[in-house]
Amino acid sequence: MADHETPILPDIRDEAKRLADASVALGLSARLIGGLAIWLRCPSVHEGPFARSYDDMDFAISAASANKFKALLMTQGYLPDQFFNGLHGATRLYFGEPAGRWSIDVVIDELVMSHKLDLRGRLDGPAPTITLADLLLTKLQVWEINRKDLGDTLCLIADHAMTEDDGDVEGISLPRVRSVLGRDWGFSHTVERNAQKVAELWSREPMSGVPHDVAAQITALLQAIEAAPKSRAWRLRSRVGERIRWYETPEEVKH
Amino acid sequence: MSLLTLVFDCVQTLQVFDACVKLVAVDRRRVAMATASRLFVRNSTGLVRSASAVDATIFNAVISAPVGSTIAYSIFFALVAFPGADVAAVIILVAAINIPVLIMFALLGASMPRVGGDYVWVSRVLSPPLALISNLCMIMGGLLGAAFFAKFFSVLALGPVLVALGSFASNNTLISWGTSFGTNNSWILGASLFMVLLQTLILIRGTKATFRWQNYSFLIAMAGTLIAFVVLLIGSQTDFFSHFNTLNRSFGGGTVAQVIAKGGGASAAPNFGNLSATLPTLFSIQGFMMWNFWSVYMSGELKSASNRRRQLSVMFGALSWDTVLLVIGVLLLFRIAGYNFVYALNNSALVGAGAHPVYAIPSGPFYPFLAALVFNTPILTILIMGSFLFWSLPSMIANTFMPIRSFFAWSFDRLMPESLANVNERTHSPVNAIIVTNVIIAALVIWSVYGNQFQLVLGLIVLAGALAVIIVGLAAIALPIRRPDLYQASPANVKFLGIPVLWIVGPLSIAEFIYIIWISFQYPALVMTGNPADAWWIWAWLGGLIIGGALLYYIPRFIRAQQGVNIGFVYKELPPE
Repeated sequence: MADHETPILPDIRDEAKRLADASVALGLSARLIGGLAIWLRCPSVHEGPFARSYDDMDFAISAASANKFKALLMTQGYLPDQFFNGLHGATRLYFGEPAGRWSIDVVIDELVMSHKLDLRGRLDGPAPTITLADLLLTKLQVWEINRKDLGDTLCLIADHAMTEDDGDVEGISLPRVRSVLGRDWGFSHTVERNAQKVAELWSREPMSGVPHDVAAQITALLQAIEAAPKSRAWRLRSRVGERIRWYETPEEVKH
Repeated sequence: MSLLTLVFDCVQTLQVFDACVKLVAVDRRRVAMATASRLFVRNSTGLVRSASAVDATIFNAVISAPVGSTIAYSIFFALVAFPGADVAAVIILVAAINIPVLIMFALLGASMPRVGGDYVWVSRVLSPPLALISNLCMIMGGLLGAAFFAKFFSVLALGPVLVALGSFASNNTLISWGTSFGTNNSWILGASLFMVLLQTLILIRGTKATFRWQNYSFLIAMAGTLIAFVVLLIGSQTDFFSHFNTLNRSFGGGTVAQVIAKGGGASAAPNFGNLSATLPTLFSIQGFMMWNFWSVYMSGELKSASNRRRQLSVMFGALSWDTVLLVIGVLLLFRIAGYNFVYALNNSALVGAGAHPVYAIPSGPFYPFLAALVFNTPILTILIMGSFLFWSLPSMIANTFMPIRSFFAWSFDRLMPESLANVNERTHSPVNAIIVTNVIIAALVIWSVYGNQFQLVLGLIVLAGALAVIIVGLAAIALPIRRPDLYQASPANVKFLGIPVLWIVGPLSIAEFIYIIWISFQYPALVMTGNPADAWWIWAWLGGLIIGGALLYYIPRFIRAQQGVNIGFVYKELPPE
C-alpha cells in the first residue's frame, strides 16, 4: 500500500541507489555505506557465490547535513524511530520503511562499531557511496565478521585496484588506508586479521572473470599497512598487544 | 548460574587491586572465544553505546557516596548527633546491607535495560500506578539530591574553603566571603543557583559533554582527596597538633587538650555495639551510600547494559570504591587527629560558643581543612581545598540525569506532553526536559536555603529511596510469576538451591528498607529536625509520594482517554531500546 502513496521503490537495491543519487543531487554530505554500497559499486556481488539479499541500508552523513537528510527521508515516507533518534541522535539515526520491508541506519560523522572510522570531510565525493578505501575499512573493521562481510570485501577487492592516488574514484586508496591504520593499532590489527580471512576465503572459493587477483591485492594491502608510518600512540598500544581488548562489540538494538 | 556465582562476581569486583588483572584475563577469554567461533550472526547494524563501564561506575560513585562530600559531612554530623558512633564499622555494615539491593537492581537492569529503569520494570511487571509511585520516589531522591549538592557547594565547600584559605593566609576578605557563602542566605542562594545553571548548560550540551564534565570533575576532586589521604598517612600527629595550636591561638583559641576537655571528647570512644549511635548513623550514611544502582537509569546509553556481569561490576565497583576509600579516609583522620579530638572539634555548641571560644578558627573543622593543617604548606592547602570544590558538580549531574531520562520515558508513554521529549537538533539533548528538571531543582534549592534544612533533605531522600526500593523489591518477586515470558529468557533467571535469586534479594531488600524507615521514626534528629512530635512528617512525605505517583498516572490517563487514547496499551510491551 505504501508503494502507491510514496515514491519508495519496491526493491531495496533500487531504492538505495535512488536515495543515494538524490543525496548527491541535493548536495548533501550523505553517502551510502554497507552491503548496498558494495552492491552499487561491485558488479561481482550481483551474482555468483557472494550474491545475497539485503535487509537494511546504511548511510553515513555529516552532522551539518543531518537535518536535510532527515527531511529527505521523511518526505519520501520513511518513519523515524523517535525514541532511538532522541536518545542516540547525536551519532546515529534509524528510520523504518513504512510497510516494514526494511530499515535505514544512519551514522553521523563517524562509523563507530568494532573500531572508529572518522568520515568527516569525506562524504562529498562524486560517487553515491563513500570512497572505496573507506568502504573497505568499514567492512574490515568488524571484529565479529561474518560470511556476508567477507564476501562483500572479497568482491570489492576483486573489482577494484589498490591505488596510490587518493583522488581515483574507482580505486582503493592506499594512502587513506595507511593514514587511518597508522594511527590506531587496534583497528590495524583487526583489519590485518580480517584481510587474512578474505584471502583464505578467496583460496577456498576463487571467483572467475573478476578484474583483479584478490590474493595479490591483499598482499599489497598488508604491505601498505606494514609500511604505514605509525603514530606514537600506535607504537605504545602495539606493545600491549592482545593482552587488553582492542575492539568494541556493537550490540543489536531492538527497534 | 547460581547465587554463588553471583556472589563470586561481586567479590571479584570488591577486590579493587585485582580488578585490572582480572579485566585482562576476562578479555583474553573473550578474545579466545571470539577467535574460536569463526563466523557470527548479525541481523542489523550494531550500535556501540556512548557510556562506558567507567562512565557508569563514576556515575554511581559520585551520586552514591562522593568520597570527599561524604567524609566532610556524614562523619561530623554522626559523631556529634549520635555520640559513640563507630563510623568506619557502620560504613562497612552499610556496604554489606546494600549487597542484595544491588544484586536485585543489577538483575532487573540487565533483563530490561531501558531508559526509565524502575518505571519500566514495575509498570510491566506489577502495575503502571505503582511504577509511577516508585519512579516519583526515585525522581524526588534525584531532585532533592541535586538541590542538596547545590547547597552543599556553597555551605560546605566554597564557604569553608575560602574561610580556611583566609585563615591560613590571615586574609580577612577571604574569611568574610567564606563566612557569607556559609551562612548568608542570599550568598548561599546565589552560589547554589549558579551551580544549577552551570549543570543545566552542561546537560544541554549533550550526553558526551555531560560525562566529560562529570568525569573530569570527579578526577580533580578525587585527586585532591587522595592527596589529603596521603598527607594524613605520612604526617605526624605532633606536627598536626602543633600547627593547630599555633593557628587556633592566633585567633584567640586554645590548645588541642583544651578543645578535647571543653568539647567533651575525653571520654568519647567509638562503640559499634551502641545501637542508639549505630542505627541513626547507619541511616545517615545510607543516605549517601544506597544509590549505587543509579546507573540503571542510563541503561539506554550504557555499553552492554543487558550483560549481568557488566551491571554487577558497575554497581559493585562503585560500592567497593566508595566503601574502601571512606573507611580509609575515616581511619586516617582518626590516626592523625584522634577520635576524641575530632569528636570535640565538631561539638561546636561547646567548643565554639561563648565570648572566648576554645575553638576560634573561623573555618569549621571539616575534613580537607584538617588534612591541610598536617603540613600547613600553601601548595598542599590549595591542592587539597581547591579540589574539594569539584565534588558537588558531578554529584548534581548524576542526580539530575535520572529525572530527565524518566520524563523522557514518561513522555514517550504519553503520560506527559510529547514536547517534553523534544530533542534539540543541534545538541541532541532533551532541552525541555532538562529545563523543567532544573527549574524544579532551583525551587528545591530556594526551599532548602530559606527553610534552613540540610539533614531534613537528606532524610527525605532516604525515605523516598526506601519506598521506591520496596516497590522494586515487589516487582522483583513478581517477575518470575507475572511475566515468565520475560523472566525465562532474561539474565535475571538465576537460581540458588533451586530458588530464583530474585526471590531471595527482593524480600531482603524490602525488609532492609522497612527497617530503615522504622529507624527514621526512632531518631528525631534524622528527619524530624529533632522534634518527635513531627513524626507525622514521615507519614505525610510517604503518603504524598504515593498519592502524587498515583495522580501522575491517573490524571494523564483520564486526559488521554478524552482524546481517544488508551495509554494502558503501552504497558503491554517493553519500550524500545
